[in-house]
Amino acid sequence: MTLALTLYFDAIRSSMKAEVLPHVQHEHARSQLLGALDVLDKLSALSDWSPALQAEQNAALSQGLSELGETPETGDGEPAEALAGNETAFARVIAAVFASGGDAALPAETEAIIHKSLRAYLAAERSRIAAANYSAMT
Amino acid sequence: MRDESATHARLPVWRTDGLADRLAAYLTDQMREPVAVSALKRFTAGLSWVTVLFVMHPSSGGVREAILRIGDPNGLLAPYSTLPEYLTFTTLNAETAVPVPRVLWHSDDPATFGAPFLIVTRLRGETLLPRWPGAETEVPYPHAKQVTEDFATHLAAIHGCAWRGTPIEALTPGATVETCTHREIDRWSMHAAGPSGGLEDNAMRYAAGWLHAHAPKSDEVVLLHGDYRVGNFLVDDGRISGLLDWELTHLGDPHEDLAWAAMRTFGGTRTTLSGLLDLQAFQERYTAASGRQVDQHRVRYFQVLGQFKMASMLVGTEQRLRNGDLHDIRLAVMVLQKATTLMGMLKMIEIAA
Repeated sequence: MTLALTLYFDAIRSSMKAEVLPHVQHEHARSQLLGALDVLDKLSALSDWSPALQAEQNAALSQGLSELGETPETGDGEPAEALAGNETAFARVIAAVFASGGDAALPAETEAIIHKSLRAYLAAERSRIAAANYSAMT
Repeated sequence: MRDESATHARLPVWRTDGLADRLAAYLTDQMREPVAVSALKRFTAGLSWVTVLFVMHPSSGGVREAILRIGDPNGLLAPYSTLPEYLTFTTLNAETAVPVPRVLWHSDDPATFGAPFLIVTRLRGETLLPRWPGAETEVPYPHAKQVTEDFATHLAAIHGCAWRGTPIEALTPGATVETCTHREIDRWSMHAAGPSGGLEDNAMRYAAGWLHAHAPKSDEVVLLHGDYRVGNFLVDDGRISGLLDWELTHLGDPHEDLAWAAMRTFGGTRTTLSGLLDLQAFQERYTAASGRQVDQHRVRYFQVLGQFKMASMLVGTEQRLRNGDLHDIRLAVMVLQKATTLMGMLKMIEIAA
């Protein structure tokens, strides 16, 4: 969830207005589409990602950093700052692991902790988003 | 919030009803005679090049169907260039029996339609689409055996293309057995680069490091389709009649295509390609036709690279969403699948390791 939720609302509105609305000729269908767009406008200003998601992601990285001997960021109590800080700290760990270039043999324990932490971080997001049905769209 | 009225006033012609008139004018200029166009139909299959079927009517006769492909500057694989497909189609049509379209006109100049474009011949046939796990029908695909054989034989022919000294060499200049895979990792790392200029997802950073650290030295550098899978070919009367969607073509290790064809992302299972074609029969037929052995360890490595590419496409699309440049909402649907894609990539690394 690296993007603001409002960006998705903007993309929906833009797509509906440019790609769909010009091709909807039935008056009632147009009224429904314009109504839906108006609702999206209103909801967009109220929307944000779940704080629980951010907390789960932060917990995953904090635990991983602790197990790797690093001190997790607290962000002075600001969850978003703490998460951003821990993401940066994790990036440093990954860069250090591969700093030797062509050495294919990573310490197994380090690799396991990285895997576990990244999986838990991603699972927080995946558990909130159902799989897409591309067949219906193509 | 963006001002849509201003945005819509700037729509490029390919996104408007003015496309037919512009296309007729372009063809009239190219063919030096009045040409009308009719029956424009935009396909919804595929999320990369915008594909429009149309009929051209030259005043001197010879009515025929053709395909207009537009490289949306904000599409899945943007920025687009017509060069890879033009070079590959031209060479393959001249040197092999691989069924690919013939390029009639092409240009990367946005002046004509507002984006790079190709106009190619239409090949006969229907696209065979993957059968996803849990699909309602259990009936085997009736042409599976022949299509599997065609699919393997055509891949062997592509990989056997004598590309050295041909224009295809320009696809991946200077590619060697030592560097080709590293260059592919770097290409997709660049595609996924964020505002910082580098990868910004930790899972992507980790995967890029792992891929570089474990990249095998290739036995040879071959021409790759780059998106060789069920869904990207046409079948006519039980035979493969056309290989499509070459925008990812490049030079590299042959296992890249073999791994991509079997990806679970495209409905692949332990025993099938996309739930339809027999995996073992495909690999055996490929070996028989090409003389190359299929190294399963390398297949697993290149499936990680394949998933890295898939994730890179999503991250690249995420950047366009961030900039407010995305107008096909299906791409936003894809972006929301990023966590699933990245988790799949981590799982593949575990398996390959």
